[in-house]
Amino acid sequence: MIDIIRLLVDIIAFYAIYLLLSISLNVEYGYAGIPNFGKALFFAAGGFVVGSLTSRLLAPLAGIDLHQVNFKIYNVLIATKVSQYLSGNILLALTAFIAMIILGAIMGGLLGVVASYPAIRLREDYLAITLLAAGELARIIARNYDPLICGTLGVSVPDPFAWLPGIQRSIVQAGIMMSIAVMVWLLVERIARSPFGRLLRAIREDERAAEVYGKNVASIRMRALLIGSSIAGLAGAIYAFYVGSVHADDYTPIRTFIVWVMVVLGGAGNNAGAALGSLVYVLSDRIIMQVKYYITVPFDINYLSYMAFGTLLILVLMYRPKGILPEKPSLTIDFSKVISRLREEAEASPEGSGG
Amino acid sequence: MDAPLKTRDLVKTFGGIRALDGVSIDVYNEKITLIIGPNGSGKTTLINVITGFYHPERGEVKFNGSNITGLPPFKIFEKGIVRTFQIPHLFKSLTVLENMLVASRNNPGEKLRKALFKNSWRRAEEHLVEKALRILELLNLDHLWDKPACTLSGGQMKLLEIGRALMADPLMVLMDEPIAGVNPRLANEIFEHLLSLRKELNLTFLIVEHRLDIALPYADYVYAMDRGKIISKGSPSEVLEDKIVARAYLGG
Repeated sequence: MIDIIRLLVDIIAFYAIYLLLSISLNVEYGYAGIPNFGKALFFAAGGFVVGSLTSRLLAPLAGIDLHQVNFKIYNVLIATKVSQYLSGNILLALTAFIAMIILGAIMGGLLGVVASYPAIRLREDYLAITLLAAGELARIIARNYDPLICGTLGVSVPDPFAWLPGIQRSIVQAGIMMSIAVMVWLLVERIARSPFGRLLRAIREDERAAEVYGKNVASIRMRALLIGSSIAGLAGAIYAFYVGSVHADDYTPIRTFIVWVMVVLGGAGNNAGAALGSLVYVLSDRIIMQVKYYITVPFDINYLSYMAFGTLLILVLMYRPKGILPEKPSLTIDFSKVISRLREEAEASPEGSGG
Repeated sequence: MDAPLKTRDLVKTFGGIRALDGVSIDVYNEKITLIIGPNGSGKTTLINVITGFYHPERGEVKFNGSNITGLPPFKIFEKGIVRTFQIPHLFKSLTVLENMLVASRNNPGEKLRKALFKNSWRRAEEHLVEKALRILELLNLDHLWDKPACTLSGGQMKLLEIGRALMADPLMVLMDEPIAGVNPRLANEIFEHLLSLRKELNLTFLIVEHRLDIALPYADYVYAMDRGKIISKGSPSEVLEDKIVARAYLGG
């Protein structure tokens, strides 16, 4: 029997992660028109921060001398010991969780600036290639440089929610993840509905015209990437805590493409679209994962999800090329209200609008 | 006469072609200065060099006494120069009003730090909407304020480009063929608009155009270009009667 509560918790947790990733791509691609094909890199940044630092920083507190043990070989044991220690110290556990996800966001944002610096002034395609390559570069380095996240073995992450018993633990964790995602969504929506959001869309539409009107395009794009990458780093850190381990090969370009599917599906340049796109993805993906044990198909069942999304993407691009929820003007203020008020004032004064 | 914009001996080459070959012009304050010349004579290149899109190999551009040669376009804007393009470069999927608002100078809400705090930019935004509406009324575009710019007709797009330029409170407007591809009636209307704007807002215009029949009567001063060089200058009638200009146009 499928455990309904566990399935629901799992869906909520994964939705939180993909919601963060899709709004981060929406800021970059949907609003600013930056084709970030290196999403996996910034997602990984958060994961790598959590994977490489959490155990190491907390181990001395749990009574482990890192000079005495081989971290690479015993990282699972160390993480377990740290988890046990954290389960007796709720405050420290939550502080560690929050500190690490903030650090993950900072690392993501930093990498966003560094990885895009060489190409931010170039045409969009070059930026896309640069970011894609940077993502693969980081993954291959992490895979082969053991001290970071123990190379191909991967690294265990201590559990900051170990103080809660059984399913309660997962429910609380998923709840916290979802609240973080909703908060970030609200912040991004606020940015999108500001003159800054309008400026991003203007730059996407016509870079040269934006420059003529005094906009420092390279620096504004950099800002969009900084926001997007920080959110992706945050998502990566939360994800690492949720799955409890960090493996370099978890951060292949396919992750980037999945996020792209969500944004294109839901509607680029519309935060509600990004939220819908990621919901559709997570729901179907998790459900396919559950039912795949009960159905038989003449091919590897693991491809079912890819096939379903490939088809869905093609259909949406054919019949709703702007996504399920297309972009709308950013109503910074209620324009029609202001304009009708101005018109009334103009009619009221005998001079007319010229006065 | 006072000339806020001066270029001296500008040279710009593309491969073996000297698109600008020592161009020196003065653009006089609150006048409409016209640059004419056949296709390929370097008029658009000159605008692109002045506004920072191209870097000249030699020479300098001075605006109100300061050297602006080679500054990036957004810095040139800060000095008070705005340009328009031959083919309108509108923010296509943004509405007419949004196009106007983006063009404004120093909108506090465009700073990321302030974007999150609506109270810090709400009033400024309201004032900008009011200003935008007044300019749109002037150009008879106000009824289209919430339409995406890509749905406008060609002539309306040209007008919106002008409106957007005005939104930026420029000291000087550089226009690249403002009436190219526009029917003669609308073309005259556009120039009438420019004349009244110049009077109302004390603007200075530098206009590149090769439809002489329409543009010349509105000009105060004219430069004629051919093959990257200024071949004639003076009042519209002086330049029109210059034999060198006629030869350049007729390809003699």
